[in-house]
Formats: sequence, C-alpha cells, structure tokens
Amino acid sequence: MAREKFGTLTEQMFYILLALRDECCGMDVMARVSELTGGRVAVGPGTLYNLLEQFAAAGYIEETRAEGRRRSYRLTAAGRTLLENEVERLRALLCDYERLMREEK
Amino acid sequence: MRGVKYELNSYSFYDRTGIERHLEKMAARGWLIERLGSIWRYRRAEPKKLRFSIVYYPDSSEFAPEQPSEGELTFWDYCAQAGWVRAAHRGQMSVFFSGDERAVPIDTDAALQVETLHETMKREQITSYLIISGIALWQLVRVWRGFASDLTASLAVPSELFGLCDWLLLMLLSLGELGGYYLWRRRAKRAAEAGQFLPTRSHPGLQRAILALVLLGFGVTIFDSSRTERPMLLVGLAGVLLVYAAVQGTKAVLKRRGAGTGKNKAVTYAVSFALSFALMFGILRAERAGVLRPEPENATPYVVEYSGGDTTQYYAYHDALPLSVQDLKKTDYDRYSCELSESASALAAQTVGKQSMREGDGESNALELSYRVTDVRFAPLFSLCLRSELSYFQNYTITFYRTHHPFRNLVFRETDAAPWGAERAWRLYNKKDGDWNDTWLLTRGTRIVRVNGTALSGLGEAQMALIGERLLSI
Repeated sequence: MAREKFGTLTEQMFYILLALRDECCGMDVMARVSELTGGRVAVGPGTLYNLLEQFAAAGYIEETRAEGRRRSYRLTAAGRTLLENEVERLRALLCDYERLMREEK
Repeated sequence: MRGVKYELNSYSFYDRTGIERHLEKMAARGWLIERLGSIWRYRRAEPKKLRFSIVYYPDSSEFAPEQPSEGELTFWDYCAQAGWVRAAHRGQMSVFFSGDERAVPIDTDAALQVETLHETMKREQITSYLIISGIALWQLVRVWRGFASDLTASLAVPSELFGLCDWLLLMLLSLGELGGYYLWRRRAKRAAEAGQFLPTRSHPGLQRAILALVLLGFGVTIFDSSRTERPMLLVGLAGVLLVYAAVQGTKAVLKRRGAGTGKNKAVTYAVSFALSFALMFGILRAERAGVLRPEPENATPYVVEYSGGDTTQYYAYHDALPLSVQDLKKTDYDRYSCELSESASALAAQTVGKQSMREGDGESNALELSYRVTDVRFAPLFSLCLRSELSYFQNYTITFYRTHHPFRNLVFRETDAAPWGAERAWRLYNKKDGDWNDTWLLTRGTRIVRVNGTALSGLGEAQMALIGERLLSI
C-alpha cells in the first residue's frame, strides 16, 4: 500500500527524502529543502509534518534522535532505494525527451 | 470599548477557505479569534492585515485532553518555525495566523491536504452528521405518520407543522453538509492531481437562516402548546438543557484532568445515556402522577373507584357547546361533561366538541354527542383534507406488537346532503356487517364537519337542519 502510495514522488516528497540523506531535525528540513532548491521548492510545515509521519510509518526514514520535541530523522536503505527508483524514472523521462527532440531536429 | 466579541459559528467544519477569509476580515476590523466552538470568541486587537490558515489534526478529538499530544505540539512547533502563530484550537481544528505575506503556507501539497481533511472528517464529523440525519429522519417519519393518519388535526396544530419543518430542515442541513463535503472532496481530489488546491465553500447565511427557523419552530411549539401540555414541555426543555450542560461539563472536567480520548468518550456517552434515560423516566413518572398536569380550567375533578379498589381521577368539563345533546333529544342525565377545544394554524382551524357521560356512569345509557369542525384555511389543501377525513377510520391504527386497523371495515358512503344544508354529506357504513353507523361527514365551502354519537340515532330532517345550521354556518 505504502509503496503504491509513493510509486511516484512529488517534488516535495523527493526533496524531503533528499534532505534526509544526512541526519536532520524535522523542523530544519523546511530550510534545507529551500537551500537545496535555491528557494524554488517550499515545503509547508503541515505538509512536512504529515510526510515525515508517513515516510517513517512506511520505513523510508527513521528517527535517529529526540531532544524533547526536536526529533531527527535519516533516510533508510528502503528510502534510498525509493529515491533512486524515482531518479531512474526521471532519468528515463529525460532520456526519452532528449532522444525524441533530437530525432525531430 | 468592548474587548471581547462573540459570534455564532455557522461555517461548515470543512470550510477552511470560508473560515480563513472571515477571520481575515475580522482581523482587519480589529478582532482576533481566540476561541473556537459553536460560539467563536474574538479579542480586541490592533486592526491588521493577517493571513489565516485552518489546519486539521486527525489524531486529536473533541474528547482529547486539554494538554495536546506530543505529536500535535510538534506539529505546532513546525508551524511556529515557519512563522505561523497559533490563535485558537479546538478538537481537531487549529487556527494559525501570520503577518508575513511571504510565509510559506502550512499546507503545500493539495493531495495531502485533501487526505488529511478526510481522515479528520472520518473520525468524528461524518459520524455526527449521520447520527443527526438518522434521528431527524426517525422524527420526521414519526411526525409524518401523524399527518398521514389524521391530516386535518395535524394541520390545525402549528407545533405539528413546525415539527415537520424542523426535522426536515435538520435532516436536510446534515445531509447537505455531508453531500457538500463529498462533492467538494471529489472535485478537490481531481484538482489535486493537477497540483491545485480547490477552495472550500459553505453557506453560513443559509445555515443561520435554517437554525433561526428551527429555533422559531421550537418556540412556536412551546408557545402554541395547551395549558396542560406546556409544563411538561418546559420541564422537558429544561431537562434537555441540563443534560446537555452536564454532558459538556463531564467532557470538560475529564479533558482538564487529562483523561484519555477513549476514556472521556466512554464516560461522557455513559453519562449522556444515563441522564437522558433518567430524564425520560422522571418525566413519564411525573406525568403519570399528574405532577406536570395543571388542573384544567372550567372543570370539576371526580374520582372513580373500580372493582379492584383502584381509583382514577377524571374531569367533568363545563364548556359552552355550539350544539348539545339537549338540542336534539330529551335526556334526564344531568352529569354531562361538555368539553370544547380549539386549535388553529395558518393552514387550518379545528374545533372539537364532546358531550359525554362521566366515567363510571355507563349504566345510565345517556345519549352522547361529539363533533369535529375543520376549516381549511389554505383552500388548495381542501380536497386532500376531505380525502383524509373520508378515510379517517380506515387509516386509524393501533400499534401494539404489530399495527392493527380496528376500523378498516368502516367506510363513508355519500348520502343526501340537502337535509343538512350541506354541499355534500356522507354516512359511515360497516362493509362487514352491512350496518349504517351514526357518524356523518358534512361539507360546505372549505368547512368539513364530522359528527357522531348515540344522540344522532333516528335523526329527523329538522334535527339534521339544526346540526347543519349550528356546525356548518361560518
């Protein structure tokens, strides 16, 4: 069910997972995504909270530390595979696009 | 200058967009929301252009402890980190605001927002709407059965009419909420696939109007109730308000004490059921004991002792009747109870006259008379009312284990109207025995008269004319 749910990732899902390749406090993910994308992608706090809960429940991220309510997370092996699969998918899209556009020229 | 302002909340629970816009307008006028619920409370603040955001937290509940869960506090921390200030919170809903126009919205994923709202709605709201719709439908069927079995009597009682409208409106309101939500959800899911947020919409003006109508209906029911019914209605209303206050109080105390959601729900529901049952039992006992029934006016109480030694109190009425047994026949009986009652609404008016022997005087074999005069004030309903009167005995039901139709063989057959001075006349006929009954139905204009009783046996034309003159002339 969870795999089907995250069969394809939205931009926000993608960057949250990418931001968690190194341990990061949940609250700081918003700022890290903004930095990673040069401000192009913004993740709202409600969306971030819900996605972190869902990623953790699906085993794509794991809680590494909790200082009071400040909880830190890190990508798991399953999360890394999910991210890599998404990159493969995006790469395939890009390849198709480039091949077809080249043929047109 | 007042520092606090209260407002009746008439927005749908899911109408995030409507509530946000409204709170923004209020903030611009210098009123900042500080408490949610059925009544919203605002506090005076410097008028500001603020952005509001309504967020839902499915795991919370109306029954959750006052101290929010760690998860909810973490969620609030995230919002605070993004520059959103929490203004108010109740159950699953929180209100945040921000003065920064560039603050990242709390929800930036449309699909996730639709999913979270649905999770929230599933936990409490949808069940509540379904329960309200079910109760309203049940009451509607109950009231409607009264109309179906005796239309003219129901039409002449404003509280019956308002009862019908009230339950219908309540049912439409809760079904409308459910339908509105599911319609929005279907469209919002489609919009979310394209990454777009679909604004929510509700009709607070319409909801306020419906609520006002429902309250008006209850007011009319109490105002219109008879002198004998009113104490019971008022005690019942006070009891319902007390039960409501006790249930809300129980919930609030348990919330303050930090009882878990499940425990609070179980105790609150148990208190609610126990008090409702106690209230019903108490009212029925008081009604049976006659505590809530004031002495009727213009009546003499008398007590009848039955063979087992049981005694029951009855009343002999002394109302002036437009037509009496003595107008038609000679009688030696002088202990009659003469009762006249009237009811009227914008659609119909009804007068019921009854001259009967006192209980326990059956051996006297005195003649009796009763009649019901109905004026259909809303003429288009006349043929419907006449049809209902003509099938009154066939529609008459008694429900005891199963529904019985004790008078199903009694039908009205048209007879000569001229002696009565009526436009049309019918007499009751027993299909099974082939006997004519001393019950007549007469009409003139929009008036329908049903008259019956032993005083009508062997009526001559002069007596028929007198009855017509007394009961049919407007």
